[in-house]
Amino acid sequence: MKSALAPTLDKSFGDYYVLWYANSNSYSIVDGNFKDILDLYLGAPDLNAFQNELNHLSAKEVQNIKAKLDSYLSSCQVEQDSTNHFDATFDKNHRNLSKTYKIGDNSFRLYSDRKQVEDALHPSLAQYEIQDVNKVNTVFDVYLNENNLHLFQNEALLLAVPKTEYHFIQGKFHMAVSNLIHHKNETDWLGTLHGSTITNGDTALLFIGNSGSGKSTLCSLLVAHGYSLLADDISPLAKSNTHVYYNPAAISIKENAFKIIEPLLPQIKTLPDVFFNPSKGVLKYLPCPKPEQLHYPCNAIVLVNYNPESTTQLETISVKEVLETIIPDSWLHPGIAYAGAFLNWLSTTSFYKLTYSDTDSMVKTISDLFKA
Amino acid sequence: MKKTNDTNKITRKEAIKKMGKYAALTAIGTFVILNPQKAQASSPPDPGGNPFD
Repeated sequence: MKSALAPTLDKSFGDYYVLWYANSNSYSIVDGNFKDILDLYLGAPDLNAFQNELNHLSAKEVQNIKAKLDSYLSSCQVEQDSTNHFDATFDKNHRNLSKTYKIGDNSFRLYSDRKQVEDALHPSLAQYEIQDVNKVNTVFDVYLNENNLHLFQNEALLLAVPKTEYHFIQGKFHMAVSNLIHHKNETDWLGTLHGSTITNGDTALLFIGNSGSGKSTLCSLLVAHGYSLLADDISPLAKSNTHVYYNPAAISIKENAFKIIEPLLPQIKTLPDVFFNPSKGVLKYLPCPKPEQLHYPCNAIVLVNYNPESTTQLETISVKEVLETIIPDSWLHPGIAYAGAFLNWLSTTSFYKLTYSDTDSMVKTISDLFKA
Repeated sequence: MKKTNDTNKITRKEAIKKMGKYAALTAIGTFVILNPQKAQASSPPDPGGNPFD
Protein backbone atom coordinates (compact mmCIF):
# COMPACT_ATOMS: atom_id res chain seq x y z
CA MET A 1 0.00 0.00 0.00
CA LYS A 2 1.12 3.53 -0.66
CA SER A 3 4.38 2.16 -2.00
CA ALA A 4 4.77 5.27 -4.17
CA LEU A 5 5.15 7.23 -0.95
CA ALA A 6 7.76 4.88 0.53
CA PRO A 7 11.12 6.32 1.57
CA THR A 8 13.68 6.23 -1.24
CA LEU A 9 16.60 5.41 1.06
CA ASP A 10 16.92 4.14 4.60
CA LYS A 11 19.84 3.52 6.88
CA SER A 12 20.09 2.18 10.42
CA PHE A 13 21.90 4.21 13.11
CA GLY A 14 21.73 2.33 16.42
CA ASP A 15 18.27 2.86 17.91
CA TYR A 16 17.18 5.01 14.96
CA TYR A 17 16.66 4.80 11.23
CA VAL A 18 17.20 7.72 8.90
CA LEU A 19 14.77 7.64 5.97
CA TRP A 20 15.20 9.89 2.93
CA TYR A 21 12.36 10.93 0.62
CA ALA A 22 13.44 11.90 -2.91
CA ASN A 23 10.34 13.98 -3.79
CA SER A 24 10.98 16.47 -1.01
CA ASN A 25 14.66 15.92 -0.10
CA SER A 26 13.32 15.30 3.44
CA TYR A 27 15.26 13.37 6.05
CA SER A 28 13.09 11.56 8.61
CA ILE A 29 14.53 10.05 11.77
CA VAL A 30 12.33 7.31 13.21
CA ASP A 31 12.68 4.77 15.98
CA GLY A 32 12.59 1.00 15.49
CA ASN A 33 8.89 0.66 16.39
CA PHE A 34 7.89 3.25 13.86
CA LYS A 35 10.07 1.69 11.15
CA ASP A 36 8.55 -1.78 11.81
CA ILE A 37 4.96 -0.61 11.49
CA LEU A 38 5.72 1.64 8.50
CA ASP A 39 7.36 -1.31 6.68
CA LEU A 40 4.36 -3.48 7.50
CA TYR A 41 1.96 -0.84 6.16
CA LEU A 42 3.94 -0.17 2.97
CA GLY A 43 4.44 -3.89 2.37
CA ALA A 44 0.79 -4.91 2.86
CA PRO A 45 -1.04 -5.34 -0.48
CA ASP A 46 -4.23 -3.75 0.88
CA LEU A 47 -5.92 -2.52 4.04
CA ASN A 48 -7.35 -5.96 4.80
CA ALA A 49 -3.90 -7.51 4.77
CA PHE A 50 -2.64 -4.74 7.08
CA GLN A 51 -5.62 -5.34 9.39
CA ASN A 52 -4.90 -9.09 9.39
CA GLU A 53 -1.34 -8.44 10.48
CA LEU A 54 -2.71 -6.39 13.36
CA ASN A 55 -5.63 -8.72 14.10
CA HIS A 56 -5.18 -8.31 17.83
CA LEU A 57 -6.29 -4.70 17.47
CA SER A 58 -9.76 -3.38 16.97
CA ALA A 59 -10.74 -1.99 13.56
CA LYS A 60 -10.82 1.46 15.14
CA GLU A 61 -7.27 1.12 16.45
CA VAL A 62 -6.03 -0.01 13.02
CA GLN A 63 -7.81 2.94 11.39
CA ASN A 64 -6.13 5.24 13.85
CA ILE A 65 -2.68 3.83 13.02
CA LYS A 66 -3.46 4.07 9.29
CA ALA A 67 -4.48 7.71 9.64
CA LYS A 68 -1.25 8.53 11.46
CA LEU A 69 0.90 6.76 8.86
CA ASP A 70 -0.95 8.44 5.97
CA SER A 71 -0.46 11.81 7.57
CA TYR A 72 3.24 11.07 8.17
CA LEU A 73 3.79 9.87 4.58
CA SER A 74 2.11 12.90 3.07
CA SER A 75 4.17 15.24 5.31
CA CYS A 76 7.30 13.54 3.95
CA GLN A 77 6.35 14.58 0.41
CA VAL A 78 6.19 18.29 1.23
CA GLU A 79 9.16 20.27 0.00
CA GLN A 80 10.90 22.95 2.00
CA ASP A 81 9.32 26.33 1.32
CA SER A 82 11.22 27.96 -1.43
CA THR A 83 13.29 30.92 -0.33
CA ASN A 84 12.11 34.09 -1.94
CA HIS A 85 14.41 33.93 -4.96
CA PHE A 86 13.58 35.87 -8.09
CA ASP A 87 14.97 36.82 -11.46
CA ALA A 88 16.87 40.02 -12.10
CA THR A 89 18.93 41.48 -14.89
CA PHE A 90 22.43 42.79 -14.37
CA ASP A 91 22.93 46.53 -13.96
CA LYS A 92 26.52 47.74 -13.87
CA ASN A 93 25.54 51.16 -12.57
CA HIS A 94 25.84 49.91 -8.98
CA ARG A 95 29.64 49.58 -9.10
CA ASN A 96 30.53 52.24 -6.52
CA LEU A 97 33.05 50.27 -4.44
CA SER A 98 35.45 47.51 -5.31
CA LYS A 99 37.76 45.01 -3.59
CA THR A 100 40.17 42.60 -5.26
CA TYR A 101 41.28 39.27 -3.79
CA LYS A 102 43.83 36.57 -4.52
CA ILE A 103 43.51 33.07 -3.05
CA GLY A 104 45.99 30.53 -4.42
CA ASP A 105 46.07 31.03 -8.17
CA ASN A 106 42.64 32.68 -8.29
CA SER A 107 42.04 36.38 -8.36
CA PHE A 108 38.60 37.91 -8.29
CA ARG A 109 36.92 41.24 -7.74
CA LEU A 110 33.86 42.21 -5.74
CA TYR A 111 31.91 45.30 -6.72
CA SER A 112 29.25 46.69 -4.41
CA ASP A 113 26.94 49.65 -4.27
CA ARG A 114 27.51 50.78 -0.67
CA LYS A 115 29.63 50.16 2.43
CA GLN A 116 26.92 48.29 4.40
CA VAL A 117 26.42 45.82 1.56
CA GLU A 118 30.17 45.41 1.07
CA ASP A 119 30.41 44.70 4.83
CA ALA A 120 28.16 41.64 4.46
CA LEU A 121 30.78 39.94 2.24
CA HIS A 122 34.16 41.68 2.29
CA PRO A 123 35.37 41.50 5.95
CA SER A 124 35.32 37.69 5.93
CA LEU A 125 37.83 37.69 3.04
CA ALA A 126 39.79 40.82 4.01
CA GLN A 127 42.97 38.80 4.64
CA TYR A 128 43.05 37.91 0.94
CA GLU A 129 42.58 41.46 -0.35
CA ILE A 130 45.24 42.70 -2.78
CA GLN A 131 45.81 46.17 -4.18
CA ASP A 132 46.68 44.88 -7.64
CA VAL A 133 44.16 46.20 -10.14
CA ASN A 134 45.24 44.04 -13.05
CA LYS A 135 42.88 41.68 -14.85
CA VAL A 136 41.05 39.21 -12.61
CA ASN A 137 39.58 35.79 -13.50
CA THR A 138 36.17 36.41 -12.00
CA VAL A 139 34.02 39.42 -11.12
CA PHE A 140 31.24 39.44 -8.53
CA ASP A 141 28.69 42.23 -8.17
CA VAL A 142 26.54 42.66 -5.08
CA TYR A 143 24.05 45.46 -4.66
CA LEU A 144 20.82 46.51 -3.03
CA ASN A 145 17.99 47.62 -5.27
CA GLU A 146 14.46 48.32 -3.99
CA ASN A 147 15.10 46.35 -0.75
CA ASN A 148 16.33 43.33 -2.67
CA LEU A 149 19.89 42.11 -2.57
CA HIS A 150 21.45 40.88 -5.82
CA LEU A 151 24.57 38.80 -6.42
CA PHE A 152 26.07 38.28 -9.88
CA GLN A 153 29.11 36.32 -11.05
CA ASN A 154 30.59 37.54 -14.33
CA GLU A 155 27.31 39.45 -14.88
CA ALA A 156 25.18 36.27 -14.59
CA LEU A 157 22.68 36.21 -11.74
CA LEU A 158 23.66 33.91 -8.87
CA LEU A 159 20.88 34.98 -6.51
CA ALA A 160 18.44 37.78 -5.73
CA VAL A 161 16.55 37.79 -2.41
CA PRO A 162 14.82 40.26 -0.09
CA LYS A 163 17.52 42.02 1.94
CA THR A 164 16.40 40.38 5.19
CA GLU A 165 17.50 37.06 3.69
CA TYR A 166 21.08 38.25 3.16
CA HIS A 167 22.43 35.03 4.71
CA PHE A 168 21.58 33.29 1.41
CA ILE A 169 23.68 35.87 -0.47
CA GLN A 170 26.57 35.21 1.94
CA GLY A 171 26.11 31.44 1.51
CA LYS A 172 25.99 31.67 -2.29
CA PHE A 173 29.04 33.96 -2.42
CA HIS A 174 31.10 31.61 -0.24
CA MET A 175 29.95 28.64 -2.34
CA ALA A 176 31.06 30.46 -5.51
CA VAL A 177 34.44 31.36 -3.96
CA SER A 178 34.89 27.74 -2.79
CA ASN A 179 34.10 26.55 -6.31
CA LEU A 180 36.77 28.88 -7.70
CA ILE A 181 39.54 27.90 -5.34
CA HIS A 182 38.79 24.16 -5.45
CA HIS A 183 38.02 24.08 -9.20
CA LYS A 184 34.61 22.57 -8.57
CA ASN A 185 31.01 23.39 -9.34
CA GLU A 186 27.85 23.04 -7.31
CA THR A 187 27.20 19.47 -8.45
CA ASP A 188 30.55 18.39 -6.94
CA TRP A 189 29.29 18.95 -3.38
CA LEU A 190 27.09 16.74 -1.19
CA GLY A 191 26.18 19.93 0.60
CA THR A 192 27.32 22.84 2.69
CA LEU A 193 26.95 21.91 6.34
CA HIS A 194 26.03 24.53 8.91
CA GLY A 195 29.00 24.19 11.21
CA SER A 196 32.68 25.03 11.65
CA THR A 197 35.49 22.58 10.92
CA ILE A 198 38.89 22.39 12.62
CA THR A 199 41.82 20.22 11.58
CA ASN A 200 44.95 18.97 13.34
CA GLY A 201 46.66 18.52 9.96
CA ASP A 202 45.56 14.91 9.75
CA THR A 203 41.79 14.70 10.23
CA ALA A 204 39.01 17.16 10.95
CA LEU A 205 36.18 17.67 13.46
CA LEU A 206 32.92 19.40 12.51
CA PHE A 207 31.47 21.57 15.30
CA ILE A 208 27.74 22.20 15.10
CA GLY A 209 25.21 24.10 17.20
CA ASN A 210 22.47 26.63 16.87
CA SER A 211 23.36 30.28 16.45
CA GLY A 212 24.82 31.52 19.75
CA SER A 213 25.95 28.07 20.93
CA GLY A 214 29.60 29.16 20.82
CA LYS A 215 30.98 27.25 17.83
CA SER A 216 32.89 30.22 16.41
CA THR A 217 34.26 31.11 19.86
CA LEU A 218 35.38 27.51 20.37
CA CYS A 219 37.06 27.44 16.94
CA SER A 220 38.91 30.69 17.72
CA LEU A 221 40.18 29.19 20.99
CA LEU A 222 41.31 26.03 19.18
CA VAL A 223 43.11 28.12 16.53
CA ALA A 224 44.87 29.96 19.38
CA HIS A 225 46.06 26.53 20.58
CA GLY A 226 47.63 25.56 17.27
CA TYR A 227 44.78 23.92 15.36
CA SER A 228 43.85 25.12 11.87
CA LEU A 229 40.49 26.42 10.76
CA LEU A 230 39.22 24.54 7.72
CA ALA A 231 35.80 26.23 7.54
CA ASP A 232 33.76 28.62 9.68
CA ASP A 233 29.94 28.47 9.64
CA ILE A 234 29.71 26.90 6.16
CA SER A 235 31.58 23.59 5.78
CA PRO A 236 31.56 22.28 2.19
CA LEU A 237 31.44 18.47 1.94
CA ALA A 238 32.68 17.05 -1.39
CA LYS A 239 30.93 14.22 -3.20
CA SER A 240 34.09 12.61 -4.57
CA ASN A 241 35.83 11.83 -1.27
CA THR A 242 33.43 13.11 1.48
CA HIS A 243 36.19 15.43 2.74
CA VAL A 244 35.44 18.84 4.19
CA TYR A 245 37.10 21.52 2.02
CA TYR A 246 38.73 24.81 2.94
CA ASN A 247 36.36 27.76 3.15
CA PRO A 248 38.55 30.89 3.18
CA ALA A 249 36.08 32.99 5.22
CA ALA A 250 37.46 34.35 8.50
CA ILE A 251 35.78 33.39 11.79
CA SER A 252 32.83 35.65 12.51
CA ILE A 253 32.82 36.60 16.20
CA LYS A 254 30.01 38.30 18.06
CA GLU A 255 30.61 41.06 20.61
CA ASN A 256 29.83 38.92 23.66
CA ALA A 257 32.74 36.57 22.79
CA PHE A 258 35.40 39.30 22.42
CA LYS A 259 36.37 39.16 26.11
CA ILE A 260 36.72 35.34 26.07
CA ILE A 261 39.00 35.37 23.04
CA GLU A 262 41.05 38.52 23.71
CA PRO A 263 43.47 37.05 26.32
CA LEU A 264 44.55 34.36 23.83
CA LEU A 265 44.28 36.33 20.60
CA PRO A 266 45.01 39.98 21.51
CA GLN A 267 45.08 40.93 17.82
CA ILE A 268 41.28 40.84 17.93
CA LYS A 269 41.39 44.35 19.47
CA THR A 270 42.86 45.76 16.27
CA LEU A 271 40.31 44.16 13.94
CA PRO A 272 37.68 46.55 12.59
CA ASP A 273 34.13 46.47 13.96
CA VAL A 274 31.62 45.35 11.34
CA PHE A 275 28.00 46.39 11.67
CA PHE A 276 25.44 45.84 8.96
CA ASN A 277 22.56 44.25 10.83
CA PRO A 278 21.28 45.55 14.17
CA SER A 279 20.03 42.08 15.16
CA LYS A 280 23.56 40.63 14.91
CA GLY A 281 25.23 43.58 16.67
CA VAL A 282 28.93 44.33 16.24
CA LEU A 283 31.00 41.55 14.59
CA LYS A 284 34.70 41.04 14.12
CA TYR A 285 36.19 38.72 11.52
CA LEU A 286 39.23 36.83 12.77
CA PRO A 287 41.52 35.79 9.90
CA CYS A 288 43.19 32.40 10.39
CA PRO A 289 46.19 30.85 8.64
CA LYS A 290 45.37 28.63 5.70
CA PRO A 291 45.61 24.92 6.63
CA GLU A 292 48.42 22.85 5.09
CA GLN A 293 46.04 20.93 2.82
CA LEU A 294 42.84 22.22 1.26
CA HIS A 295 40.70 19.29 2.42
CA TYR A 296 40.61 16.70 5.20
CA PRO A 297 38.50 13.66 6.09
CA CYS A 298 36.03 14.39 8.89
CA ASN A 299 35.06 11.45 11.06
CA ALA A 300 33.35 13.13 13.99
CA ILE A 301 30.65 15.74 14.56
CA VAL A 302 30.62 17.62 17.87
CA LEU A 303 27.55 19.48 19.11
CA VAL A 304 28.83 22.52 21.02
CA ASN A 305 27.18 23.63 24.22
CA TYR A 306 28.89 26.53 26.02
CA ASN A 307 27.63 26.63 29.60
CA PRO A 308 29.42 28.98 32.01
CA GLU A 309 28.19 26.87 34.96
CA SER A 310 29.45 23.52 33.68
CA THR A 311 32.63 21.50 33.85
CA THR A 312 33.92 20.05 30.56
CA GLN A 313 32.01 16.98 29.44
CA LEU A 314 32.09 14.98 26.22
CA GLU A 315 29.28 12.48 25.69
CA THR A 316 28.13 10.47 22.70
CA ILE A 317 24.78 11.50 21.22
CA SER A 318 22.32 10.06 18.71
CA VAL A 319 22.04 10.72 14.99
CA LYS A 320 18.68 12.33 15.82
CA GLU A 321 20.24 15.08 17.94
CA VAL A 322 22.90 15.73 15.29
CA LEU A 323 20.53 15.89 12.33
CA GLU A 324 17.96 18.00 14.20
CA THR A 325 20.72 20.57 14.69
CA ILE A 326 22.44 20.42 11.35
CA ILE A 327 19.82 19.78 8.65
CA PRO A 328 17.48 22.78 8.97
CA ASP A 329 20.30 25.28 8.31
CA SER A 330 22.35 23.26 5.81
CA TRP A 331 22.07 22.93 2.06
CA LEU A 332 22.06 19.28 0.95
CA HIS A 333 22.07 18.34 -2.72
CA PRO A 334 18.67 16.76 -3.56
CA GLY A 335 19.98 13.99 -5.87
CA ILE A 336 19.64 10.37 -4.79
CA ALA A 337 23.34 9.58 -5.26
CA TYR A 338 24.16 12.61 -3.10
CA ALA A 339 21.70 11.70 -0.33
CA GLY A 340 23.02 8.11 -0.36
CA ALA A 341 26.61 9.29 -0.09
CA PHE A 342 25.65 11.69 2.71
CA LEU A 343 23.99 8.87 4.69
CA ASN A 344 27.01 6.62 4.11
CA TRP A 345 29.32 9.36 5.35
CA LEU A 346 27.13 9.84 8.45
CA SER A 347 27.28 6.10 9.15
CA THR A 348 31.08 6.27 9.39
CA THR A 349 30.99 9.36 11.61
CA SER A 350 30.91 9.53 15.43
CA PHE A 351 28.57 11.95 17.19
CA TYR A 352 29.40 13.84 20.40
CA LYS A 353 28.12 16.65 22.56
CA LEU A 354 30.72 18.88 24.20
CA THR A 355 29.64 20.97 27.17
CA TYR A 356 32.30 23.38 28.39
CA SER A 357 33.20 26.65 30.03
CA ASP A 358 36.91 26.28 30.82
CA THR A 359 39.19 26.68 27.79
CA ASP A 360 42.13 24.54 28.96
CA SER A 361 40.06 21.46 29.75
CA MET A 362 38.06 21.93 26.51
CA VAL A 363 41.30 22.02 24.46
CA LYS A 364 42.55 18.89 26.27
CA THR A 365 39.26 17.08 25.54
CA ILE A 366 39.39 18.02 21.84
CA SER A 367 43.06 17.02 21.64
CA ASP A 368 42.12 13.58 23.07
CA LEU A 369 39.24 13.31 20.62
CA PHE A 370 41.58 14.00 17.68
CA LYS A 371 43.80 11.17 18.94
CA ALA A 372 40.90 8.75 19.46
CA MET B 1 12.69 24.90 7.67
CA LYS B 2 10.13 22.41 8.84
CA LYS B 3 10.19 20.03 11.73
CA THR B 4 7.38 17.73 12.75
CA ASN B 5 7.31 15.69 15.92
CA ASP B 6 4.83 13.11 17.01
CA THR B 7 4.59 10.73 19.88
CA ASN B 8 1.88 8.13 19.98
CA LYS B 9 -0.28 7.94 23.03
CA ILE B 10 -0.06 4.12 23.26
CA THR B 11 3.15 3.20 25.03
CA ARG B 12 5.19 0.20 24.01
CA LYS B 13 4.64 -1.35 27.45
CA GLU B 14 0.85 -1.02 27.23
CA ALA B 15 0.92 -2.46 23.75
CA ILE B 16 2.97 -5.49 24.69
CA LYS B 17 0.66 -6.12 27.61
CA LYS B 18 -2.27 -5.98 25.26
CA MET B 19 -1.21 -8.69 22.84
CA GLY B 20 0.87 -11.14 20.94
CA LYS B 21 2.30 -11.31 17.46
CA TYR B 22 2.73 -7.66 16.52
CA ALA B 23 2.48 -6.28 20.00
CA ALA B 24 5.47 -4.03 19.51
CA LEU B 25 3.91 -2.60 16.39
CA THR B 26 0.92 -1.21 18.20
CA ALA B 27 3.23 1.38 19.68
CA ILE B 28 3.58 3.42 16.53
CA GLY B 29 6.76 5.02 17.81
CA THR B 30 8.20 8.45 17.18
CA PHE B 31 9.43 10.33 14.17
CA VAL B 32 10.84 13.66 13.12
CA ILE B 33 10.90 15.13 9.59
CA LEU B 34 13.67 17.56 8.64
CA ASN B 35 14.12 19.61 5.48
CA PRO B 36 17.45 21.09 4.46
CA GLN B 37 17.69 24.55 2.92
CA LYS B 38 17.23 24.74 -0.84
CA ALA B 39 20.24 27.03 -1.21
CA GLN B 40 23.55 27.59 0.54
CA ALA B 41 23.28 29.88 3.55
CA SER B 42 25.36 31.31 6.35
CA SER B 43 23.97 31.40 9.91
CA PRO B 44 20.46 32.82 9.71
CA PRO B 45 20.02 36.34 11.11
CA ASP B 46 17.97 36.75 14.27
CA PRO B 47 14.48 38.00 13.53
CA GLY B 48 13.90 41.73 13.47
CA GLY B 49 16.34 44.46 12.62
CA ASN B 50 16.69 46.25 9.35
CA PRO B 51 19.95 45.25 7.69
CA PHE B 52 21.90 47.68 5.49
CA ASP B 53 20.15 50.81 6.79
